[in-house]
Amino acid sequence: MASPSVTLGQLLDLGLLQRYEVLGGESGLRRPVRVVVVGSTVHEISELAAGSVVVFGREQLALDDLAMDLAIRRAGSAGLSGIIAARTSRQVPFVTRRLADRFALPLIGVDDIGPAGVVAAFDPYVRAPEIAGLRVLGDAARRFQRPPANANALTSSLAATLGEPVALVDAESRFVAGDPAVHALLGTHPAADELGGPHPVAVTVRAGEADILLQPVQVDPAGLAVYWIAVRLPGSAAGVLLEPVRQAVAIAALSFAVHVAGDAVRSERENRRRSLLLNEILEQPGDLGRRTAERASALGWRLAGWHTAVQVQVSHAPSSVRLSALGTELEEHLAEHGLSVALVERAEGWVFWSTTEAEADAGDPGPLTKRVAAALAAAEAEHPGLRLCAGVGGAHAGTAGIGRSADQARQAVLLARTTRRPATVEHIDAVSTRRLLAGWYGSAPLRGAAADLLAPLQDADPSGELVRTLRCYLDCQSSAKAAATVLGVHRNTVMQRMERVAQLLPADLDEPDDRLAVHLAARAVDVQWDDPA
Amino acid sequence: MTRPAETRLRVGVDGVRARAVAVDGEGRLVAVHRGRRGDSPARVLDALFRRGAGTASTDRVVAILPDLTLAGSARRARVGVLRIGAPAATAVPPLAGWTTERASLAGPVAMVGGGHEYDGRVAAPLDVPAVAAFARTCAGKVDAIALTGVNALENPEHEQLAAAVIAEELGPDVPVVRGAETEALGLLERENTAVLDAALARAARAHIDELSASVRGHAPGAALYLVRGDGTVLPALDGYRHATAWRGAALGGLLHGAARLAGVPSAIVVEVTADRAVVGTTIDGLLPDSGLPREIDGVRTGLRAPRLTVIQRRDAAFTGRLHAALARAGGGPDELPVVLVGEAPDDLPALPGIAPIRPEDGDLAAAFGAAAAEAAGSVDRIFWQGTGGGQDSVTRARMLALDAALRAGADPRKLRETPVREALMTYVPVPAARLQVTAVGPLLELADVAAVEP
Repeated sequence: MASPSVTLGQLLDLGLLQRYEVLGGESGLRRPVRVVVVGSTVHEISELAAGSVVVFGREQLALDDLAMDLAIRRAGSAGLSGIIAARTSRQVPFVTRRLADRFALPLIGVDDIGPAGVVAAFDPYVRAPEIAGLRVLGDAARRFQRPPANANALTSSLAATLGEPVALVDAESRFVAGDPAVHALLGTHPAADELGGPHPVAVTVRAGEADILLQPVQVDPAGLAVYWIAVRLPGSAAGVLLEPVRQAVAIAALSFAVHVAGDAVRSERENRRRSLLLNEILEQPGDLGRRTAERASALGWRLAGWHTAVQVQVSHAPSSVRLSALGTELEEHLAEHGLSVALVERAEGWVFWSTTEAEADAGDPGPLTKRVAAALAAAEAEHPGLRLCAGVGGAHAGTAGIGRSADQARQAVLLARTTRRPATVEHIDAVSTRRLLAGWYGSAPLRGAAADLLAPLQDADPSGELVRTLRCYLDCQSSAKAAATVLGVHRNTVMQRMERVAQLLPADLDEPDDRLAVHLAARAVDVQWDDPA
Repeated sequence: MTRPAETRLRVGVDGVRARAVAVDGEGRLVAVHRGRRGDSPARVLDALFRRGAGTASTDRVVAILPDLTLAGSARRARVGVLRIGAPAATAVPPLAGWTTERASLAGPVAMVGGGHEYDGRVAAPLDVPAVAAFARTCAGKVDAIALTGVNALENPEHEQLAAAVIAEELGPDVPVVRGAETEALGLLERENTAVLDAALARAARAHIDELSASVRGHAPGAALYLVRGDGTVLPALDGYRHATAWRGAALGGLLHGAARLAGVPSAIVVEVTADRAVVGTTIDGLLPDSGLPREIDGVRTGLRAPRLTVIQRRDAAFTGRLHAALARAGGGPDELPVVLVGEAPDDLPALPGIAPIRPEDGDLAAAFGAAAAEAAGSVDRIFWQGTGGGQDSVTRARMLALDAALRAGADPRKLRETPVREALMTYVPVPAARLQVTAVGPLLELADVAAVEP
């Protein structure tokens, strides 16, 4: 097996030379470097071993020296891997650069630095390329001994370690922190769509002109990636130098996973505290201990006043969404929409309530419903495929009112779940029968249709007797006997009138739909509606 | 670890006889094109490439270009002539000995203070303002500059400095030819060569550009070389400023090519055409020097001419003269084989006692010689022996020859050297010797260069 070796391109990428310029022979930068030596004369170049890089000081051979052509020819013939020489104020002749190109012999111009210094800087990496890797690894281990405080700390620390731009993206390839350019570069690659997949592993993808290393951040080693660290790989990170860079990024990912896990634990503990407290309040609203009340007020919960509870549920979530983090996100979205509340985790989702001093108009929960809907829509927009719904309870007074409203909210959310629309929010009052009917009655066109339906009865009997009998009969669950009692007539009279009605009506009362429509029409037809129009 | 070199093609173009060949690494002919005499070298090359010679794998194109002469060149340039040597070297002014007609091509001529002693010490400081003033006089009036410094072979500093000053004034489009670019002892010879090169620079550029456009079009990765008068190569970029260097390339390339076609390292070569026979010798890749400077258009230059004998066919004593020439050419300790090439080698009467080799494709000898041409570097100058003694000078001379060969494109690992010829100079007050040495070797191939595996 060939011993690992570095190329001149890699050495230059290490940033050991302050300012340098590749003047020619760029295609030779991939040649392996066996040794770096100080050059003394042009003639001695032929004696050097293949794969050497020779460094000339200004006194020995400057770049604009006429002997440079000879040096290139000798170096090319001896199979050298590059010439490093001092730049002067004069330009390097075009012919010289072309010659270097032709022999694929890298010609590197540097500012005046001692050749011995260049050799000393390069030598360790040439002799043992692993050393360059150890430097990166050591730096990574030191920086990531403690988990980074946040995503920005992670990306800036890692970028400083590797000397290359770093970005943190989430499992849906959204930019979280770091260098947006890396994220943009990643966006051009199809791999960006597969970050949420199962079994995440570190990969290197080619995006445009650059190689990008993708390292998953996993809280659960067997689970999905929570985040991905994207690093634009330097040209030097190839061969023997690639592995240390990979490992450094893996260290950073592990360290950041600790941070994420710690965050999750903290918020979970907080959630548990809240739900235990809520349970206590719900179970014994009438007999709260002093301690419980104190803890509630410490959390900013108000027990007196009128409470309107809201329950939020997930109707569908793609696998990439972390439900544990969703509560916090929802709180943020709700806060953005003017609802500064603390979500309490429950078995069926999250619950929160808003409290007012006086009873709000129960029939007009509009602002609250709208705000919740907007907040849910915002959360859904962030996670494609996520479906949320919520139910709003009625306003109820006192500590016990919290539980009552929460119960109603839970009922309302059941209805909300049955709809397929995104970000559905249902109010408990809105699902009561009265409000259903009110909605129906409130529609003038529907009332017109009702009048049309019953028009034959009105025509045949202007006194309205037939319509009243029909309504009463239907109100009494199609019982002729009961209707007769209510109307104060004989049962046979009712039967006779209903036979007539059946003949006149363009609908079949044996059909449930027809019967319901006729019933509604009969109940609506005699009422005086005062339309706002 | 080296991998086996891929077969890379070398293309040789004989721009005089309108022949082109592609030769593989083992010296086998891969493709041949025979054009009509008068076809331009670029056209011949195009035709060869169209025959399907593997253009992608062409390593180099080596071309023999027709000789350029002042008389024959419509595009000759007006030349500004500068000599750096006042006050020491002004007795014979520049262009002395040129015919009035020839001298008329010169633009401004000036001699400025500067130059070096025989041992490289500064004889007089370079008069930079005078150089700049000369350059300004030349602005707009000349197409090229020839400048020559006294003892510039020993120390080219003033020449280089003056060239930089002139380039600054006139810009990069006016070629500046320096005398020390020609390895010749005499100041006048170097100066004359530089003036001729400068005068022919425009014509040279036109020829080379046409050819290199064809190379770029067909084989962009290939390097372009020209053949020198001695049959070795001249990088095309140097050819712009050294049109005189490729004088006689048609014969130089032919001598080497004929020996290679015959499969011998050294040979007496006879090229026979309808009206003449030329006899020359090639020994291990080099042409023996005639010892005479080459004269071009009646002007004595610093170029060395190879030893050649030209015999006209209509000459009554043709056979006798040919015999004499062959005897002279073989005048060494070893018996050299005789190789017959050219358009009409079979016309030659039988030569008693000589069994000449008549290689197939003898008409391709020059093109073949171009394709297989080597790179050489020569040193011929006086070395003043300082503290290090004679051995130091010899080492230095050999090193300079090696460097020159490398600059011409040779592979440093495969260079051969001639023995150093030493002529002691007893008539000067310090120990000195004229040393002559030549290094020659095959061109450095790119396939050899990229042979380091990771």
